[in-house]
Amino acid sequence: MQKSYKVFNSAEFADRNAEFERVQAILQERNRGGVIFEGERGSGKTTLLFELYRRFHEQIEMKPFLISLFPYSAPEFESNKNIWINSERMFQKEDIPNLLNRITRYLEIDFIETEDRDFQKDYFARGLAYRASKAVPILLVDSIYECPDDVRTELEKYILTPILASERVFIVLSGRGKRPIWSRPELQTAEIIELHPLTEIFVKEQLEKMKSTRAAEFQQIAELSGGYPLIVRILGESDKALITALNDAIDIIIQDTLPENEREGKRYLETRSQIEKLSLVDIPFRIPDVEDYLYPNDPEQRAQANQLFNVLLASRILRYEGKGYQLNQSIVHPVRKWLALKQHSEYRNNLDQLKRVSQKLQEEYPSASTWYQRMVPTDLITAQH
Amino acid sequence: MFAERLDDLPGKCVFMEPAVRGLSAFGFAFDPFEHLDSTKDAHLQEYLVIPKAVEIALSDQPVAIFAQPGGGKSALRIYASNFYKDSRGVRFPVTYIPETYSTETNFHFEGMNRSLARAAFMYLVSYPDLYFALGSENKQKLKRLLLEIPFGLDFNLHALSESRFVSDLEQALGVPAFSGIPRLDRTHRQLARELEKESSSKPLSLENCFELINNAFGAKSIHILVDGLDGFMETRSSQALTTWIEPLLNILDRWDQGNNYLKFFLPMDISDAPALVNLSAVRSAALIWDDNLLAEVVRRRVFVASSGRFDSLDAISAPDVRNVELTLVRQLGRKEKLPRQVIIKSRSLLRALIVSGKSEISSKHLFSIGELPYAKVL
Repeated sequence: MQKSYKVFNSAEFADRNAEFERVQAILQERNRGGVIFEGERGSGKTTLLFELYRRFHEQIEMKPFLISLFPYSAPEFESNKNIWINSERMFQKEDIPNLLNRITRYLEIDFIETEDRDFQKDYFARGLAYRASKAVPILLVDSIYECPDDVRTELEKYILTPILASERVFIVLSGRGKRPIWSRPELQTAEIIELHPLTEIFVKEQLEKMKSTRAAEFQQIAELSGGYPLIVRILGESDKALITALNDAIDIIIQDTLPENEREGKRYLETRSQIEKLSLVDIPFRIPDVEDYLYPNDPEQRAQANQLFNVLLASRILRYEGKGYQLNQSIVHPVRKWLALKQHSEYRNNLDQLKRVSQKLQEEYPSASTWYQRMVPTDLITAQH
Repeated sequence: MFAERLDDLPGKCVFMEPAVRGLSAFGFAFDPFEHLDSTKDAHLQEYLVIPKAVEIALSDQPVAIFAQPGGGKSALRIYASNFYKDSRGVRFPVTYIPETYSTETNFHFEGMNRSLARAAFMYLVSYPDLYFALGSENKQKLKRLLLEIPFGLDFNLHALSESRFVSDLEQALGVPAFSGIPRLDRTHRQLARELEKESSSKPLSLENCFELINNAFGAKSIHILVDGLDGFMETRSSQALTTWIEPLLNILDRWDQGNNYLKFFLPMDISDAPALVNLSAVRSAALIWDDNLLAEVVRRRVFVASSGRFDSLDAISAPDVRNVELTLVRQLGRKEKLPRQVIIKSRSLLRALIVSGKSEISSKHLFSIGELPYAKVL
């Protein structure tokens, strides 16, 4: 059965006026360009892209085409020809010739036909580059950062780059985590719009549009969810106690990103437990900074930490920024709220262990002691007391 | 000490000492500071930093870009060529680098004819089916255009029939293909046969070649990138250089009207030459570097070489070491503030790190960079 949070429903869409205005302004100011929405897991990038697509689709002078790279569904666009969407599986490299065929036909582009399927995608791409059309093509690609590198480079080579050869064109992308290495300058210098969580008033709006029975609890839901639309949705749909619903939301937000063999059973419980610990670290961290905290007294702590970090990096819920790694805020926020609400002994132990590690690092690196002092979240310590 | 810290890596983590594993011990997939010659750099398109002022090199107009030796002229020229190539020939790139020196009136135009023939040949190799769809007049004209190709058309058609990969032809002609087709197949052999059979008389004039590229290939503009004049400057005065390129300056306007744009990559010494300054048809800009831009040159390379896992050498530095790139740039003298110099500096830093066997850059590394032969260590 399709999970409700993987279905687009325009009637439930809330806020994002600033982002729409920005995109509209770019379309008016420039002849061509690229816009990338960046945001944490559950910040609403996908729904924003679908809503943009819906609005462009209603404008005659626009020729939008939406490519959804991960399983998703949008019943209201089922009969549209200008969309690539699959509710069952991810987009694959082998889909590119068919996708190109669909885009070129939608944009009414002439292309040379050849027998070889591999060669044909080059001719499609050439057709895209030579396109002559009065309407402005707008290509929207969802979750392009997260797709495998080989898929992204092929998409860039055969679709994004040739389409960018046109005089008037716009590309709107969305992505989470590590930025890819683009070779096209329009993508390297694309305008990045960061998607922030919803404010309390728009959490209320979202709950009302969802017709949630919990609309009256919007303040508490805004506080627990941090305003991340995906978490708001899960809390709003749940009939369980809020703390239990929040726990479910954390599972969903983590599990969906993990490799399949890591999503269930003991392995998942271990990963989740370590994510909870890492959520308490208040500075970007390095592996040696946290290995003793994550795996105290374990002779294999280095190998264990490496393995965990590789899983989290591949899942893009961890990324390197500046001087160290950081977990997605859309995970850190609800996890901290949930831990604080639960207040069990393990949580207090974790905080104590983190304080010890922080102290040890301050002694090891005296010139970076101020940095390591900030490792322990002061607000949580205060709350604990 | 370093064994304890070795897998403090921003990506996949390993237990091996830097002296053995070189840069891979620090999470680099390749050495981002290996190439000073941009023609040999496979990653240029991914990490070249282009100062705002010289973005005009990618625009539809005649342009002159000036820079000091080591200032990034050739890198920008290669970048521009790849940028146009990626348009699948909508904006058709032709690279012209004079091979010798001559004051003959037609010297440059004949050289450009050869460059254009080379590029047109690679275009046909990239899209062979396009040729079969052309009318007989265009086919005949194409054959005439190709007569100017270096090593002769017969040699190149033979290579087209006998080679298995497009890269063989790319290497022989020094021109990249326009499409992503990796192998040569029976369509290419058919192309070779048809071109061989096609009758031909004398070569086409350069301006007729432009017209043909527009009509047969559908190019909307042709961009002729003129580079490689630095070597010439070493032996002759800047006045002589200006005089040498004067036939090209005189034709700028006329070519511009047909959407054929000359783009010069010139030494800074002639940026104030009256022949160029007074030329309204050409837009000029200088490649000038400030500290932040030079730091960005290093950061972009680090980002790409680490496969996007981190974007600063800070990531492989001790916790108390910050802004490694800016520190390196500030160590350069005023006249040294060029990409080549900061690349050399970064290379020396990494070399010193590897030689020391440490797992992270310390203040000591940063402020005492030696000049030992880095390549040997790697």
